[in-house]
Amino acid sequence: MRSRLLFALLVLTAATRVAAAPATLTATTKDTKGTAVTDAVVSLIPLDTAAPPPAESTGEIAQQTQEFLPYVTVVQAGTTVAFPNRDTVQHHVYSLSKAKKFELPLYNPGQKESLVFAATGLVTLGCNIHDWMLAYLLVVPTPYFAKTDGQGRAVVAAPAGRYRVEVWHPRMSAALAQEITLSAGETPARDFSLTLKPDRRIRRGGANKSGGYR
Amino acid sequence: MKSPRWFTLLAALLAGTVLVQNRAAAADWLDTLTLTAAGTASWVENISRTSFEPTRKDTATYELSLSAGRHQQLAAAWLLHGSVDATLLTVPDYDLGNHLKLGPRLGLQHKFGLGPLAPVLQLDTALTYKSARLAADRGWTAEASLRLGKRFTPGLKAGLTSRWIEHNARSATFDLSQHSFTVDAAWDITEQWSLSGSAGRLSGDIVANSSWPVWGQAITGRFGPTVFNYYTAHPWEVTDLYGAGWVSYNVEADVDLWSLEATYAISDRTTAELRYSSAFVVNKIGVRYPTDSWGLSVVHRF
Repeated sequence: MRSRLLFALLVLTAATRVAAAPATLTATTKDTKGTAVTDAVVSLIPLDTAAPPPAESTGEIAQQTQEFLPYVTVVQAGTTVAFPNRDTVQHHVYSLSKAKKFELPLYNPGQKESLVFAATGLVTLGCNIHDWMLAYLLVVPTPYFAKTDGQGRAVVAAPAGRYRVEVWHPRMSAALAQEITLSAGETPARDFSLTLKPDRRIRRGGANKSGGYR
Repeated sequence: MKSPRWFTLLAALLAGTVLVQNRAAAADWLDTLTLTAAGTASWVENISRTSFEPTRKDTATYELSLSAGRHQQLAAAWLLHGSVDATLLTVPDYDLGNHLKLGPRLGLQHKFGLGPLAPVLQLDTALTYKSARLAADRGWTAEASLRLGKRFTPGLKAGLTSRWIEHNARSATFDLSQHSFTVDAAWDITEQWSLSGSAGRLSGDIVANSSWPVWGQAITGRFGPTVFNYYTAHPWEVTDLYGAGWVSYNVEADVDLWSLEATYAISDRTTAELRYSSAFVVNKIGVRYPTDSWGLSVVHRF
């Protein structure tokens, strides 16, 4: 009797563990020429349940060597994002995006302001002194997201369930979306071909771009 | 006896703290300085600005410029820029044309809105001392300019500049009072290549030169009363600037200015620039002095 009870307990524990094991989606992104796409955001938005609230975490977008680092950041709605000035010059960080409009003028080296990004959507950041500085902050309604690496690969872990997979990149006109159902412990892989617009950023190169509204 | 020792120690500590803080503040200020150096080699046709073509002088010039500057945002859309600029020009074949210019520059910029496409109005002032090899040309130059610039696309920007220059030289022959309007445009073709151009009109005093045989005819009426009356009413002197007996003289003129420049970004901090510029000078009595130059520059920002 005791051994049967023990056996039943072991089976129950194993079953619970299997049921709780998240699924892991490996997304690989390439452009139409077959080149791996870096800095693409892959997010899984649950369709059947509400997404859990954001954990006590903060994002960070620094200003350094007259650039924003990183170029692409993704956070869940409700996350606090810090903007430390680790540069040796002043900056004037701003966004005119509907998801969050703000300005941080007279932003001196060493200063660090933090803002809460409550609304989902794309926040495009610029510096009003250094026109070439550009960064993107994608605010998503889910904690299940990742950014693609140098090989165009992103790994997103999420509980079993139905999701809308969204893939976004700064040079896409609109995000790619498709439905996926994940089973516990599953490790599916998906390939995404992204149509990217030409990269038309303001050029930084050369000796004359030292700031000053140029 | 112990009290004075304590006092001495405390005073030394306080002095040390102040010194370290001042040095740290000075070091912070130095950290935000932008240092730029540029070297330019040019070929100038009619550097002598001579109207009589057979006597025109063409030669090479070399220029080294250093600039230390800093910008400070005063308010949300206002930027103050200050710098100290030094320029050394050498003309190996005509070394009386060598000079060193040194002085501060202060500029105020206002951006009308947020974003790279917002127009920018810029006021610049500069005060420079020209230490010329030719003593008559030494003196202070005051300069002011107003520029309205705008970026139209990530790769295309244009601007309109109005500039005033006053040079007070030791000799009236080299005094200058000039006003110019220039329109310019720059196109970033690729990550490395840019093309820019400008066109403008300058009005005011210029210094032209003449060999003595030609000048002698002008001031004795051999070229007619108009030339005689005009040139004898304006300052002139023998300077030997472009040869023995050469004369420099001051006239009022209108100058059509053109330039075209191709720029290659060698790195994030270094640029190579090939520039062609043309100045077509016509003085008040219709005498012409065309000048063309080709220059190759390397600019580095430290």
